[in-house]
Amino acid sequence: MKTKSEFLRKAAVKAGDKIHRAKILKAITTYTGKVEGMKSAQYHDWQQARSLAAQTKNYVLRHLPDLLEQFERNITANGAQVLWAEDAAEAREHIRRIFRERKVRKVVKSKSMTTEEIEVNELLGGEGIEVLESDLGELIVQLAGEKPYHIVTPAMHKSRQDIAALFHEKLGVPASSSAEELTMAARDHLRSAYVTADAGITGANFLLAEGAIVMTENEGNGRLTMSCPPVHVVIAGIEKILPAMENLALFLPLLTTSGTGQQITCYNSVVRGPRAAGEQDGPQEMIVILLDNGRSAMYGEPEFQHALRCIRCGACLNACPVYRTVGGHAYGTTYQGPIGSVITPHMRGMAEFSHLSSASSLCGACTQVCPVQIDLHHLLLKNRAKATEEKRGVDLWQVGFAGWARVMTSRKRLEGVRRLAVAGEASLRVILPHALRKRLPLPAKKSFARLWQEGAGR
Amino acid sequence: MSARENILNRLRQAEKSAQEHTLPHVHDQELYRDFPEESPEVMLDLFARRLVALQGEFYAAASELEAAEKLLHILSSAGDGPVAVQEHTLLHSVVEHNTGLRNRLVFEQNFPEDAREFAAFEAGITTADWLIARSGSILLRTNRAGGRRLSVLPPLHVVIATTGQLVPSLEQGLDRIRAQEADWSYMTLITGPSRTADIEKILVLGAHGPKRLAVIVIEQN
Repeated sequence: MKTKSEFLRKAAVKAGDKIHRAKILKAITTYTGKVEGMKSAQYHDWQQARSLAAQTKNYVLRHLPDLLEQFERNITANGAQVLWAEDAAEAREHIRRIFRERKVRKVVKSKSMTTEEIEVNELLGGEGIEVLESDLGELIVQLAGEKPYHIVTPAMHKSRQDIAALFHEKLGVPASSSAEELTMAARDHLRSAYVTADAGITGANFLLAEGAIVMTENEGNGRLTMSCPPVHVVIAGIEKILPAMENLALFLPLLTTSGTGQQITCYNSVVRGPRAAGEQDGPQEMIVILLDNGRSAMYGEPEFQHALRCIRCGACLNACPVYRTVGGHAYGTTYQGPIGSVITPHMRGMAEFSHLSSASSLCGACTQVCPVQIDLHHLLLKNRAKATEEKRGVDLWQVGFAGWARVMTSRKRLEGVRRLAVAGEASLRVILPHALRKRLPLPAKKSFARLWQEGAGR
Repeated sequence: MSARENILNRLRQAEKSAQEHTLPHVHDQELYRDFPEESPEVMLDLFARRLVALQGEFYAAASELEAAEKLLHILSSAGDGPVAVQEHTLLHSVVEHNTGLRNRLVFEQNFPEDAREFAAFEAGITTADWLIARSGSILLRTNRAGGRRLSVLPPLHVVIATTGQLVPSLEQGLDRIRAQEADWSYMTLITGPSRTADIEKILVLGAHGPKRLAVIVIEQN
């Protein structure tokens, strides 16, 4: 209940914040123009591309356990290590152990939502390990002591002036800096981190069953994170599988077109393992942590399984009128917007997060833009139904409707209730509070059936 | 029971109810509107336009001698620090044409092991595995490209390739990589210089990777 009241409170504040609304509108308008332009410039038929991507992901889901085992076998043969984590606590424990054993003091990290999911920064802070977020947007929210506002654009809610003020305070740059000067300040701030860090942490956009992880980015911070430190730790959800490299010809442009409106991102890296024999450089160790954290439970529910097709492009957030109004922080979840409202109750508990399923106008804009055809708004409805089913105890609503159904299905009982209401009307008006009393309709003195019998209308 | 077994068991139990799906196959040509004709002229033209649109620098060279001149020109607008070069016959024969250039170059066998020293390089020069015309991209495997750092740590990345390396789209690039299997750990598809739009969606080049990406394509008959 606390999560719900927090959500309602924060949502109400943001909904009335005109400055916030202007910033989000500006960012999303730019985004939408680019995305729609790229869909028609690049594709013969965007709908065909979506459908192919959904079919590919359906195939993956159908064979998920086998493909995960293939992934493990193949990437292990390339020299990487694979660990499995049932939940966030187990993933954190793996990371704690890996870094303790290797005496890691400094970690450079590239943008990854799974690391947000298991709260890696808080964990490492507690271990006394310095963590540097290297993606510009992530660095901004880290310096501000905030959580990412958006799964693709973490600092969407901050204007250039906001960021300049923040960097002025934290990094000592002039408060009047331009976007370029701010970016260069971040570049300088992190340059030495890549080459002095003891380990690098990244997520993965895809896992190839043939034995590789794939990462897509624009800045190059991910490439540096995977190239310089001696240990590379990857944290990826078990649903990220694609069969092979060949599938990237469809998925890389699809992800970027929906995510940012680019034809393809600046860097797309396929990593098959640590430094191989005869290679110039690269980490000595690569460790991949496969994270379940509620995914296999969702997989077990036939109605919800297809939500695991998600490739985290962020398109549904940008399309959602609720997200645009209440903003990313109101949700209080790692994944915001429609996809977050669909999956969070399954990952973190229906009781605490089912209210998010109602944070939707059911307009279907999310479903329309999803590049892997997830039926998001219907899943929100199914979440509502599931939440109601799971609710235990006496429910006034259900008792009321059961009584109503009993009365309305019998002429005799309806007549009985009418008579009772007519007889009791005077006393009811005394008992009821004033507001209700005024709204209480007067029962008819005679029912329609009675009037008919008496010959009215003839 | 280990986490691995628990997760796989849960997935296998659920799997029985899932319906069968086949893996669809589609060619880039059927999918993408801007798929180019497979002639070197058409592909080179599209490659150059896409690269320049992303603010990459494009140079066509009729010979290795001309490529050396272009390389000198590109490096003249960078600082005068050392330049790291991948060990490769094409690159050797290009730089052979210019003695002034040779003194600044550090070849692979002399690369420092320490990443901090590596960060001092002004530029990194590599070849490419394949050039992808449709997106103006460079497909690069690190077993051939002098390592992972060479093409990302220095502020300038120069690629020297030939028209014979052009392919129409990513599908063909990946097919060719598949056909020449080798022991590689890292491959990257580079499309333009490093960029970000994390601040108010304003495009800024050189976020963390190279600020400049220059590609010289030598025309082969």
